[in-house]
Amino acid sequence: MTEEQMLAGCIKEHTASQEALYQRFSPRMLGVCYRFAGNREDAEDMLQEGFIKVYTQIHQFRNEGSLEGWIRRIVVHTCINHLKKNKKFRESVDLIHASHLIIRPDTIPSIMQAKQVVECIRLLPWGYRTVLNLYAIEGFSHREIAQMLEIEESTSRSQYTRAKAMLEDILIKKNILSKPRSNRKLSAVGAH
Amino acid sequence: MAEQWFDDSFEEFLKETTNDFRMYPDKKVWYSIYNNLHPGRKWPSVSAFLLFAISLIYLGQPNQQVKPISSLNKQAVSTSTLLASTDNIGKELTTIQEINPPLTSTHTKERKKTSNYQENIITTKVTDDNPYFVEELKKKKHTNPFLNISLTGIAGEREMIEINKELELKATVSYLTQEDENLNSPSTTMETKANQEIQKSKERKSHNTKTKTPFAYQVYATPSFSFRSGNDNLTSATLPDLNVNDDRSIIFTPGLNIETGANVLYNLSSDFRVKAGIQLNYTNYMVSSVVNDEEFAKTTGGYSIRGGASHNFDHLQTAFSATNYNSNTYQVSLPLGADYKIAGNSFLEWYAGATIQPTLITGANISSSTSQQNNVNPDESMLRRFNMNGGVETFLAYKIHKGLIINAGPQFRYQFLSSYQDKYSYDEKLYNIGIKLGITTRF
Repeated sequence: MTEEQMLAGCIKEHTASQEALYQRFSPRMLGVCYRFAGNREDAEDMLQEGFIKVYTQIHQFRNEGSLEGWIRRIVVHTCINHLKKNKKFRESVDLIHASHLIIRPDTIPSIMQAKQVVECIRLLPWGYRTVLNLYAIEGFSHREIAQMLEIEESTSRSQYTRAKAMLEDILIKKNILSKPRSNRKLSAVGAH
Repeated sequence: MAEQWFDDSFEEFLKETTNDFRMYPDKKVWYSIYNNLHPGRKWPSVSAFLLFAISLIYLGQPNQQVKPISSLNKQAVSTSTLLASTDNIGKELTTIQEINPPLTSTHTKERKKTSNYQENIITTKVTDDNPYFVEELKKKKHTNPFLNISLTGIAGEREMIEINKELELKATVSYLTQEDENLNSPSTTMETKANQEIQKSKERKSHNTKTKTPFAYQVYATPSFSFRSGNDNLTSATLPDLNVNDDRSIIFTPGLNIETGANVLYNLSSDFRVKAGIQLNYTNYMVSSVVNDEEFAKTTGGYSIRGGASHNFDHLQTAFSATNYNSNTYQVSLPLGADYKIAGNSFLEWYAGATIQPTLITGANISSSTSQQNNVNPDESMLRRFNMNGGVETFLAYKIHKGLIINAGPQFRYQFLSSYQDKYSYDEKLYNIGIKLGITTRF
């Protein structure tokens, strides 16, 4: 089934098209949710909520960008809304608390390389992780992040800076990245 | 990842690394999405549930002491399709009719019991004025497997009849019913008699069932008011902004709630009965969270917008920001419980009862209005789908005619688990106080 057929079917609320859309995009979208969520169960909740929004709003898709990008944006917003309801997330956006967190190297999971970075990201405090996900990976600006999370733009920048430093530290401890040299360059382990 | 990258390319590194990261969701996720998108297709499971509930209600029907009259049997009796046992009897009856001038007659009945049905033996003294019995039996010679009448005691007694001017007819009427009274009333025709019998049989059946079966059926409705207990993290939960201070208060406005349901009652003894059924609840209330917010005051010039009214608080340099939300839910419960009779006489009884109610939240609507834009307000997705409620009640039961009992009394219903899922800071347990009104009747 082509993307156009899926889209047309979903607009007509055809179950087969809806399922095809879900099968095509749900794995990657669950990966997105997993980076934001506390655990897999929460990630699946976010995914479910996000796809329901996708199906109910799909008639608003204008073909101005990729369908995947449009779905991804809805899923990310759903993740943020989901997180905002969570008490732990609200606590985690507090910079003072987050700055005192220490990541122990032995807590970093030893998993396959592809998932390693994602798991390292998930080791960050929730507030850091969310800002980092939104800025570095999803491509939102600090202004947009500030609006989404209802925080100051400066807070977003500050959180991102701290998140980036902390993630670098984790990646180095995990031996995914080599230590920065004097010229501030970092290199992936194994790079020549 | 075997490429060199620089500090400025950190975002690019992360993006490339995580872009192809995939996870495969559990199948139940798609099922949940499907059920949300196509709620109408839940009806098969809802129908099965209703069927189960109806089956529960009618569990009281079987194994009653006496088999009911089948519709076919009723028809047989009502149309008086009677069978005279032999042609000879018919001849004798003709003779009797001829020799007996109309006099008065009486019927008496004795009862024999067989394995599956009862025989009612109707003994009629045929006197000068009651040829009806003979005439009717002559006419009714149709075979019917469910109704059989045989006449005895009349054969060859012509002399006796002539002498005594009186003959005793004995008819054995067999049918599948319960009979328990003498039939001494005079009748005009056999058909009328049969109709009277079946009518009385119906009445007796109804009467006997109502007095003997341990099962009863109850329907009820309970208007009530809801109240809220639990912590007041409502406000802190809705205000992630650290600039908001902690000077807050919660105003709870109870709403009118409605409960309706049906129970099957089973009497374990004269004083104690258990009950189970299905119950629907509509809950409704409003909460206002009022926060004394200095930052907000600065932006509004010190005006309070609590409740939508504006009052100047210039001298205080503070203002109140209010978050109002109205919550209502639709619930289906399966109450299981017991009633104990504390006191009573034949007309009025006093009961105390309790139920435990596993509850499914089938629908909810939480609408909120807030004066702060950065609030995160509760919504339906945060609600716990399954909950557990308990109810205690005391009521008076007044017996009116035809076996109906009217119940009325106060009820207290408490929600054991928070309205919201555990992972949220909202800890809200509702309780209702209302008047339960019901009607109870035996099967």
